[in-house]
Amino acid sequence: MAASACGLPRDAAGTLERVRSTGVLRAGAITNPPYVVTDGAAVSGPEAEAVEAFAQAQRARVQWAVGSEEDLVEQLERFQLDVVVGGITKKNPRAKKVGTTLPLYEGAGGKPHVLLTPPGENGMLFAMDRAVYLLRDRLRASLDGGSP
Amino acid sequence: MRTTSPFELPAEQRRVLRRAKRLEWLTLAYLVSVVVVMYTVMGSSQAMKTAWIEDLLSFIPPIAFLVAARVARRHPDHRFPFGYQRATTIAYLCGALALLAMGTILLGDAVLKLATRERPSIGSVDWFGEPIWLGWLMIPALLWSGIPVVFLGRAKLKLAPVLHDKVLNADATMNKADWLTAAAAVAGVLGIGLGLWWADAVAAGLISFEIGHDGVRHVRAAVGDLMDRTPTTVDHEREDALPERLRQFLLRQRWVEDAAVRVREDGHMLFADALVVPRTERELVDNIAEATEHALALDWRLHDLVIMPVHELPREEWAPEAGRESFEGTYRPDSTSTTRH
Repeated sequence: MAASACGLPRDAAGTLERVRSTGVLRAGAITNPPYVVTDGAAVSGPEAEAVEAFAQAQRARVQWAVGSEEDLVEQLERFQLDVVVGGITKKNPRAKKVGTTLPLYEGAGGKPHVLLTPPGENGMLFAMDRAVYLLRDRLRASLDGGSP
Repeated sequence: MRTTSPFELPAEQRRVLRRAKRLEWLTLAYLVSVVVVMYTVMGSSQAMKTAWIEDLLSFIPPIAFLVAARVARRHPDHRFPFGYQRATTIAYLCGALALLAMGTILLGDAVLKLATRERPSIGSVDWFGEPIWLGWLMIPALLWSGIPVVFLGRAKLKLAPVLHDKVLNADATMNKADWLTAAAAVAGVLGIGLGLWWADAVAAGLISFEIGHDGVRHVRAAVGDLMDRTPTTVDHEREDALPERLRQFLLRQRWVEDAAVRVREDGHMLFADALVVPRTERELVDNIAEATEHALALDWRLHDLVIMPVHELPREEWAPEAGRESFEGTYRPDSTSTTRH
């Protein structure tokens, strides 16, 4: 979109800038197979793939932190994380105070899954939407292929 | 029990009323489109939400006007011997209270969001397969809510003084000012786009302050109307000259020594009572009847006049100059005439 070439929307706290300049994307993972599969510190699954793809587009590497939904979303609200994944749906009450991406695909029960971004970081959110939304067909295929 | 005679608008007013009704129906249709469009794009923007609620409240004046146009036409009957016009003023008051309440609540909401430093996240929508930032959809929606309404307001504002309709006038002035709301919300959205997290809440606060301020103004006007305040121009800015005109007319009658007049407004109608000190009691009934008939021709709104002959005007009468600030019941020796010339 020509309009987004103006550089809008921007982050209020400069998250995207920081990810690009430091080369590190701090991501939180909530164990939720088959969407996010954790094995110790290793994180996999279609939503983790989406985060990896985004990081690659920003020339950054992912630094994973595994935890509970409550802890990770709280860290996200405090700007200690840049993104949180875990089979979270748009209707999740914890998602109200933070940013939500466009839906990646529909999970069990037909509910759309989203990624969470820090509150007010609209530049980061838009960049994620652009990078990840276009992958959604691939992600859906990966989900179908990998489900038990 | 005698009832007020049914009120008929003169031809010009009837024509203008028809045009006003058409404009109000058009306004309602337009508002429905605005409310739907705004709701689909408002996202989590406080400014958009506030503007949307203001648009919802904008339904009240046109509906009040259209309902009043029907109800107020009903002929006075035994149950309501003075007629049904008050219904309009009551609808006007309810609308004004709604404005005041919502303005206050939304202002509190905006201030709270600023105090808790809540940052709105505005994401994207799927626009034919590509993500587009919601802010780029909010702006055209706000332009649609802020521009046509100004033209509607201007058209209605021209009609309101002809009909002397305060609800129509209030509606028109609010419509004309709606562009401010849209401009503030656009600024809020652009501010968010530029990374200023507080822009949205500040815009919302400004809009809600304006809503509340409108509410206060209209509550005062409506309450005054219900308290039978001395008649004013349609925008409540100045006193109406009619009471004094009526008094001067009576004083010009040969058989009248002195007169004191009191007028109250009831929707479009004016009800007046006059205390008259006659020079002579010969042909008094004829004089009164003739004076009443000619007085009613002074203004199309003057509908009911009761002339009462008295020996002397009560001492509590004030000097009835148009434009006086306070009408407390003070004795003014230069205004009463207890002597006969």
